[in-house]
Amino acid sequence: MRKCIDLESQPGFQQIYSPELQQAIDRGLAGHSGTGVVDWGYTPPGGTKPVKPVNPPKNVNPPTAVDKLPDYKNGNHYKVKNAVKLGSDDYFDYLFNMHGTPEMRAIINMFPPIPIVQENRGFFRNWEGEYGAVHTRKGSGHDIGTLFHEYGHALDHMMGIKSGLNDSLSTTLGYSTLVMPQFIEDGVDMGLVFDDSAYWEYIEANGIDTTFGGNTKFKIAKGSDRQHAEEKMKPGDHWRVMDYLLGKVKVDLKNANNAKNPDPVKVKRAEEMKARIEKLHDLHIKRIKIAKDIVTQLEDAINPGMDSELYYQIWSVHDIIDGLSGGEIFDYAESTGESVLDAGHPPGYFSMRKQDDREGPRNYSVEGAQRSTRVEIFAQFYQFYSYQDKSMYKIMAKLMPKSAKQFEKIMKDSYNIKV
Amino acid sequence: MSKELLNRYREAEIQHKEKFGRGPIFVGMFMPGLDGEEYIAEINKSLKSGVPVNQRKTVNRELLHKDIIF
Repeated sequence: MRKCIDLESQPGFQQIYSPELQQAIDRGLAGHSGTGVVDWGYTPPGGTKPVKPVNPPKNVNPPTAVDKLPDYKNGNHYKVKNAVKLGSDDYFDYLFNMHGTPEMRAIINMFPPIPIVQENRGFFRNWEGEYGAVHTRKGSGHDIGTLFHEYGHALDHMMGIKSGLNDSLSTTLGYSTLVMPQFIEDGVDMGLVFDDSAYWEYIEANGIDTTFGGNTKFKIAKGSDRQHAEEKMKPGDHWRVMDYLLGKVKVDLKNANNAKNPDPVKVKRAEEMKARIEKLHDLHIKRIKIAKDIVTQLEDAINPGMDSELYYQIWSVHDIIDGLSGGEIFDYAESTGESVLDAGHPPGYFSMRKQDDREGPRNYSVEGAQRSTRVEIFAQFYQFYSYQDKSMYKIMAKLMPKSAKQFEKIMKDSYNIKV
Repeated sequence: MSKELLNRYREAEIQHKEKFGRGPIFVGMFMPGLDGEEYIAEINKSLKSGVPVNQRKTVNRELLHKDIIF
């Protein structure tokens, strides 16, 4: 007699790590062959194009769902100037046509349509189909913001392909490279980006060996460069090390002075390092205050009330701050328990640090980490630029004037990309 | 609604930290003021089951690929 068991409730099943098995199950249950029949198979990354979305919507009624979708099926929204008709669900056309600007729709229409798939979270997968695919929400209460953000990623990639930037820079989502310098310049002017070389130089020269006052040992070997140091850090450790260094440089200076025959060179070096670390610590604390001020000012200026879409816009700015800080403000919050930002990306997304207690980093180079910052800020700017209501874009243009000017320029330049 | 949801999420997050010594781990853009109901439900489930929230273990592994952009 055959006995049927529920695998998911078996002890240890949730802990099994097997991407191949997971993908085979997901695709099998989705009827991946397109026949609608459960079938099985694992396709290596970069393999055949899926006939159906790899991730079918798992949560068609998310808790934040709106009661009723607007009447988009009557097709009236196609009567607007530069209406988009992308060939995916008409609902997404409706959002562009009713909430986007004609100028932004003109840009969308210049390029081949990018498939849009309904999903229970927003993301962009660049290797799906010819130009990638947008996965976004339907009926969530913040569908517009999510769609505009994710389509911003898609256009970044598309414009990167068509302009040749992706190829010449060996990257994906390469169009945003044209505005990255301005993102950083504005970040410096805002006090969100600063020189932290003293932190990494100290670690490389001395290593770290401490318990942060607890029982768990934290070690970074002497000679570790930034990447090797960061990959040892779980969420919260970056700030714990900053705090530790603040005390350690004082001890180092004291020890240098208290030596039997103080070496003037060593004393001088210890003094300089102490000054640099103290300055860096101050910059971190100042950045926390700046972030808090921006957060307060945003809500006062936008006054979102009960509007989820307006909150999405406000919290998208939190994400920009998260990106510019390299995730260090969330790291500070994890370490101190003091909440600063209400939204952002997960630990390790904008850095080379661990993504959680056990998992390794997402990025193994500064370039990789900065790519995340670049593409996310670009997508947020695209989102704000797309709305008919320019309130948030105007705020961003004040906060990040160099970025706004360059962003507008490269959007206009995109009309000249040969498709 | 969003601020109220954010506050309820913060309370749930504190409970999670008190029980497991760390915050819950979610995948994708983190907006607890909007997606908080989903997060809170997961936290409540974890508090009952004794297994901390780690969406990295439960989502389709393809979503963890470094080239998936949220």
